Amino acid sequence: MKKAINFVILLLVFSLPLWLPHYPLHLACMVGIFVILSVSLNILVGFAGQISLGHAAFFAVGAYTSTLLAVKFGIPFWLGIFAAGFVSLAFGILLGVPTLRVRDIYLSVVTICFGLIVQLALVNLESITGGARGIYGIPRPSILGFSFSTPQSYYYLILLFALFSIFSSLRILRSRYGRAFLSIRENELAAETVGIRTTYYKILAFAISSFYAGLAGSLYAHYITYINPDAFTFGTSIDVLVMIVIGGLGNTWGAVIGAIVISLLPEYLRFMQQYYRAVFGIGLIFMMVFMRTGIISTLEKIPWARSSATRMGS
Amino acid sequence: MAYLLETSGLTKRFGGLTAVNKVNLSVEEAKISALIGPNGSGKTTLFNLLMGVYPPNEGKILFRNQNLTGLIPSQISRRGISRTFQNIMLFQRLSVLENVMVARDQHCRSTLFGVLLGTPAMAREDEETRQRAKALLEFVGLTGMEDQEARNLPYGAQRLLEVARALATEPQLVLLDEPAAGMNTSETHELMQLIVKIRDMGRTIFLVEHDMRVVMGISEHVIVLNYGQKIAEGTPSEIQGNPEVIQAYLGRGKKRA
Repeated sequence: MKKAINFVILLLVFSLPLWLPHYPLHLACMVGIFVILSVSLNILVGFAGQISLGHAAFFAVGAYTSTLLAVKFGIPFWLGIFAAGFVSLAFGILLGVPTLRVRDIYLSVVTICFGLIVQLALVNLESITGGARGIYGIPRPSILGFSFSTPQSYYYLILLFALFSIFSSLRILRSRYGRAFLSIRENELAAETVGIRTTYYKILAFAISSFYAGLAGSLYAHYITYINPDAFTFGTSIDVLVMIVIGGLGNTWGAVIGAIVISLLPEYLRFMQQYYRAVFGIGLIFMMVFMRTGIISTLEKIPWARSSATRMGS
Repeated sequence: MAYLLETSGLTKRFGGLTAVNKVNLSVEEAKISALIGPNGSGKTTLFNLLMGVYPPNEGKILFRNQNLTGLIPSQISRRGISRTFQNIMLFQRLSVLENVMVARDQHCRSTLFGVLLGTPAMAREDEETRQRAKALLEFVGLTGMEDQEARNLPYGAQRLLEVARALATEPQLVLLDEPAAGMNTSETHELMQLIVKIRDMGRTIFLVEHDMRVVMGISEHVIVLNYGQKIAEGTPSEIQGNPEVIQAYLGRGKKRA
């Protein structure tokens, strides 16, 4: 039963471009990008227990890095996206080091400030970032003459990176790195006492998390082909945090489900016109009240949905 | 006589309170030493100093003739000291097995790339970590509980898990902070046997304990603290007859009018 359902889901995910109309497929692409963001934030917040409300900043750094490389220097996407990842990773370390001295609510305030600083820099460094107007004409990637110019082909590109981030997250969780992250989340003093270098692992969690967010930024920029600071606001950071909390904090598949639900729900509430945001908000409150540990742990109560991958880290 | 651990003039003040006051002590290798004293006499503070939870205001800690003063707990752990906590500090939502596996991190070599690529070396190391953790759980008597979340274990089992986790770092010196607290008579008896077994493996034990059956039953050397100062030390029988110790515990006899 479980195998059959997994197979159907996989078939569905891979066949989407073949039968989905244009707009829903665009939504699927955006979901894929947000899956990468939420899976990456979950490594920092869900595994290592370091609250961050500035994830959009890394998304932005990735997007602008690969955009500038492509538009100003003609660097191909395949190099640009990894440059985006590594520049974002550097910013992650930059944020990680000062935050070692703060935790919990204080850490979240520092990360909010970091997000705002990046946002302000994007608006004000006009000569580089184009300011509030942003940058137009970002090229779609191409490889060996094949251009990912259609949403159908771009969907598979996003899918590739989304699967890569999910796979990485699952692998990391089951390794010494995942165990070290979780131990810091559970009890930092005890972790130190058994020899976990908590300083190193916390910075590493920031680095890994921002690397994948940088990849997502690059994918976003080359997909929309236009970026401006509005896509990387504090609101975006909140959205990603809501995704992992709603999905089930600390659970990779929870982060995936959270990204799908939070990205799509507003779309399906649009018929309510101006009320949809309010209904969305109330819906979230109800979810938090009735599924306090997230959608994934509610699903786990259904026998066929239970899988070994969803066990660790509750 | 070989001393594994020595402190000289160790002092820790919290505001106006001197919790540990110029303590000189030495712990002999491969022996069981105990630290006793009335409540609030500075025993746990002393353990926290040894483990590097906070630095001392004055004094030095020498371990295998290396100066440990000013190091943080993870560095001290890597130099061969491990501890358990008086108020249990497990990784609550991790499984029993994972709790022990985490503590082997300092013996793991696999890199992040090895993990992502799933190299055979990484898989081998992970399997070895798992097997060693299982062996330790068997050693303390927690076989069969590997997959339970630590927070769901009964109290006595949680104390044993702390011991297993402390041993997983492969320490030379094990600090046990009130290991028998809250245990019943038979659990305490098993714990004493376990501590002796750990000593027989060549590891040095330094424990804080209120249960005098444990202290007098297994320790070879006893150090007594009162108001942050060392007031006596010696063999268990010497300590039992020491008038200053009796006075610290029971107070001065007062003649009734």
